[in-house]
Amino acid sequence: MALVPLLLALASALLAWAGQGFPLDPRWALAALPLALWTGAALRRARVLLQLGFLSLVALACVSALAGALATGLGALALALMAWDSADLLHWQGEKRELGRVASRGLGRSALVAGIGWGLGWASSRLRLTLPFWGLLGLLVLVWLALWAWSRAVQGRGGEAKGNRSESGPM
Amino acid sequence: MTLRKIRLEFSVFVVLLLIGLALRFPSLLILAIPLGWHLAWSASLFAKGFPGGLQAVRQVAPSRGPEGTLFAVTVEVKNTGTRTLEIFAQERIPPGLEVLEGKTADTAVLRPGEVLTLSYRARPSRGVYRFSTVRVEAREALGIAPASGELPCPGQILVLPRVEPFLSLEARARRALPIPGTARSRRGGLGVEFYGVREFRPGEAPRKLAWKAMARRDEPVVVEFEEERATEVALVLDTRRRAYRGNTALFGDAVRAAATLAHHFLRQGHRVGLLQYGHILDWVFPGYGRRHADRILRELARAQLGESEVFAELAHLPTRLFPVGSLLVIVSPLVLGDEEALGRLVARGYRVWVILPEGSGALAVEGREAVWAQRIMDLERAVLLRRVRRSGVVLLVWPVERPLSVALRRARRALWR
Repeated sequence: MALVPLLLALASALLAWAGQGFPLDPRWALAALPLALWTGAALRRARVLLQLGFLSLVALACVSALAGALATGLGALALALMAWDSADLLHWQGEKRELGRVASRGLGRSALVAGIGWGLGWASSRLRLTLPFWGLLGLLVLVWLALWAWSRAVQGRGGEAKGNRSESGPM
Repeated sequence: MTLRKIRLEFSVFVVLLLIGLALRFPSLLILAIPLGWHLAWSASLFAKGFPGGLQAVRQVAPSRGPEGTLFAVTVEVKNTGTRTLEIFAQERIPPGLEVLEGKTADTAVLRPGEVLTLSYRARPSRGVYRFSTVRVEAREALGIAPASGELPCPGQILVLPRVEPFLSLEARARRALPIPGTARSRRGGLGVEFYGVREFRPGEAPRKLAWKAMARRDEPVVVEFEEERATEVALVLDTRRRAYRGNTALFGDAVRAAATLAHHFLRQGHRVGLLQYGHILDWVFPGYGRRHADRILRELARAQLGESEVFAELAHLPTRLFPVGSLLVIVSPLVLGDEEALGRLVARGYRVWVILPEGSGALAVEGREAVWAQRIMDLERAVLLRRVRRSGVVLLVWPVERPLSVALRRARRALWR
């Protein structure tokens, strides 16, 4: 089951490559980088390799989108996000028999979210918007402020336990 | 992990947005949209935080017992909420607790009201093992990002030192307490052992008359028995690390000896105090009875080796804690230089017993220098023991592979001196 994120990463890299018509340019050999990094992450349980692999998958999707194949770029990003979600399976600490069920449910949710994201991206690419310079600047400031406020809110939570107060057993 | 994941996604999202806006690359802005959507979804899961309605209850049976007891620990994680959760629960095992059998981690899908049970058995060595939380990772159905946290469920295992049964050992202090006990007080009174005869005083019961002595002396005399009283016993457990030369098993034996002696003296009705002398001074004020025995055993269960410059020598033993004339029982392997401090204790009027636990077997040494070093150490030890004996201390060398009772039986004559 640990192969799932690797397969999704492979699919993402292949899609980005396929979007350009499988060019034989040696620079596309770098498309194998995310797979190599994630294999290393699976073998050595290194989260840094996992994060670098995700970044390189996003970079591949960007290259694909910038080269004109926006739909395949979005698809590569959606697969990269699914792989990124399922990478939690590489650090599974529970029983093996539970893993399949958890993975299938999680992948279902992740595929749904990535699919909606792909749809939103594709739909927005159909829109034709004209923004004046000051509008663009204002939008940038607004987005920045919103992100800042949201990050402050997330950081404040800290991820602490919020379970009910428990009682000890008879001593 | 989840927060780190969100932070990375957030960074990528911001970078895509900024580059797209700054360089007017609409495709990058469009790529930022699914990423932002995914980020919002992850953040919404994270915002829910650790799911409420989870409750953990721990049961330890028995919660205390002597060394060798098999302890059963059960942790129940109950979903008291309204949502179905996938739970991964992992016990936080205190350091030093070795699990023999059972589960310390498990996963399950818990519907509301269902319980995930972790149950295991352990046979820990002496000490106090405190449990505080159980680690729980919870995912809602179809959620891949887990929320993890610690559920509080405190508990404790107290492993007391083993107490050896032994036949007879009489505490003989130089001063007795004015309450009845089992120590011979060297004065006439109520007791069972013959002490002597003295002249009859008017008002005494005629059954006390010693008829044969009366016939010899031609005057009324009565039999007197040796009065048995309680005495003050101060147990001193040496916790200096250097005295044991890193042999923690030997320290365990010393603790066992201290526990055995405390238990025995308290059963005989004496007033017993305990001092742990090493990295700190841990003093249990003298007392009587079963509750006090329990207090001493609990302190001994916590006993640990340590190091302190101040208490490196026995010379700093706080003698004002022990009344002059009381019995000092020091459980220690001793180090060179202790003999002077022990001699001073005898000179001050204490009766001093030293129980010296001796590890089994000599160390396997190789090489000429090592053999010489071993010989020098043996000679130093022989000199130390001779000096201790000469200083008036009753020394009992206890080979720990034998029961303490056997060693005490053999040394009974010296102890009763």
